Amino acid sequence: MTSDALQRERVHVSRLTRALENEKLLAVALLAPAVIILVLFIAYPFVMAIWLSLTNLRVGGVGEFVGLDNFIKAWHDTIFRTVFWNTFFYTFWATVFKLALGMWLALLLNRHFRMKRIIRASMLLPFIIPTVLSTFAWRWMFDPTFSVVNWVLYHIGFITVRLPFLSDGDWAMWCAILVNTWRGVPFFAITLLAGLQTISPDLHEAAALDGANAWQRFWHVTWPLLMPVTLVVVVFSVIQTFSDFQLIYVLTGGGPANSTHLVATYAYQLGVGTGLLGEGAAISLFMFPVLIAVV
Amino acid sequence: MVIWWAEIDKTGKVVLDSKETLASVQFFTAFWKEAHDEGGLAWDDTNNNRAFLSGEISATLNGASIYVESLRKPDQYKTDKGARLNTDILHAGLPGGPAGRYAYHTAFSHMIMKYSKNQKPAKEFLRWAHAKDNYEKWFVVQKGFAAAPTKVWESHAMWTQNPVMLPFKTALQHGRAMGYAGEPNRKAAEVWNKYIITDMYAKAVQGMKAEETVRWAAGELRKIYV
Repeated sequence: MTSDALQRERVHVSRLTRALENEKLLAVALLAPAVIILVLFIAYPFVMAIWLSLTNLRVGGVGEFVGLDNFIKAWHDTIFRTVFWNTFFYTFWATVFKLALGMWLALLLNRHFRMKRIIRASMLLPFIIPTVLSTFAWRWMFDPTFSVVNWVLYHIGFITVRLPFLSDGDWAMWCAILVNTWRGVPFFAITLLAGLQTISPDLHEAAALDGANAWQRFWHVTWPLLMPVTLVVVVFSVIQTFSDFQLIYVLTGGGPANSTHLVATYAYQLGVGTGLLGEGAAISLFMFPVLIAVV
Repeated sequence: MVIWWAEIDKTGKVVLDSKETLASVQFFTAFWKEAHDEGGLAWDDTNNNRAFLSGEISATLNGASIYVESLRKPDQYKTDKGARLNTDILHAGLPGGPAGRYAYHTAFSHMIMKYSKNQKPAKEFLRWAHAKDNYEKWFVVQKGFAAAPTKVWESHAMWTQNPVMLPFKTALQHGRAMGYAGEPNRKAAEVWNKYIITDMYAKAVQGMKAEETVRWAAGELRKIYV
């Protein structure tokens, strides 16, 4: 390499280094990948969805601007009203169960016992298995004809007719809540467990010395200290549950007679299944104000 | 599970809320309670196949796919007496109602996108695939699974091969498209995709009054057929 070339390289390196030493430029460089991903995969589809919801676009057609017609039509759609109510019901009960069971599990796992690490890790399994896969397994267990649960209950003499797990509207909804809870409890438990481990044992000891029983220690020491973590977990869970799609799509497809349809699955059915892209987008956007309010 | 009455008249007006529809919902509710598998409301497209092949049900509305499966695995599917199940299966068209015989048969159509840059070869391909000699090869290997689309194909020698498949020879004579007696258009597809007619019966089976479910379904149809 000639000394000229070396010189040039040194100048080049030092220019880059100098540029990166500038905090503003460094910040831009570090943020750029995240911003690009957000714009491409979150912002663009979101703006597109808003635009679609204001048009009467159908598959294979050219949409025209129709203002808020799609939203008005959705609001007068009796199926949509059922769906909207289902989504609230599903989210509320699934979150309540996940919080209660997750908290209980976290408190249990916070104790010392043999094979603690293995048990803590294995508890995450429902959360790790792809939702579609585990929901298929549940669907087989709730199968209207070949349900293993019905088979067992029948053979030990608990029932004489099959339980209508997915064929009765109310049963199907509670089954969906059960599966969602089964899947979501580990997330609650692990996050709450992490929160529990930051609480100093001294506080419990002090409370115990003052004569507080187990419930009082939980209610006056653990619960208030755990509140910030709990809030974050609940908000995350509400967002995910409210916009749930895969679980319902695989387990019931929204049936019987729309009794388990959620906003996301109905938006898909209208937008992709029926080809009414505008109306589907409008229905999915009904989730947005609710989720904003939650956050 | 389809009991067919006119949803729409020829001019596109919703005529679903008729006393005939009401009678069909009432008939179906009783029919369901007496003869159907109570888990049926949770069935998808494959459940009836599995239920039939496992001997849980003895009749179902289906194409020949169950029979074909029983032919494919003759030793796996048996009757309760141990005979091969495929020797104990027969097909028949849907029975007629007061207004005649109606059925919905899945129709497949070939289309070419307007924006396609290969329209000419695509058209040529379709013409080739539907030329009598080429279509015939496909039609024969279907063994009757694809029903005769026109009268000409009803007289094909293939129908003499297996008497079990014979009802499919003339099945399409009673076939009606979605939205009958109106056009099978986008609106009819929307009604289908929203399961409005299915849900009309499903709600009645689940305990809603027949009058209410018919009114509900007709209301939903009117929102689509504006």
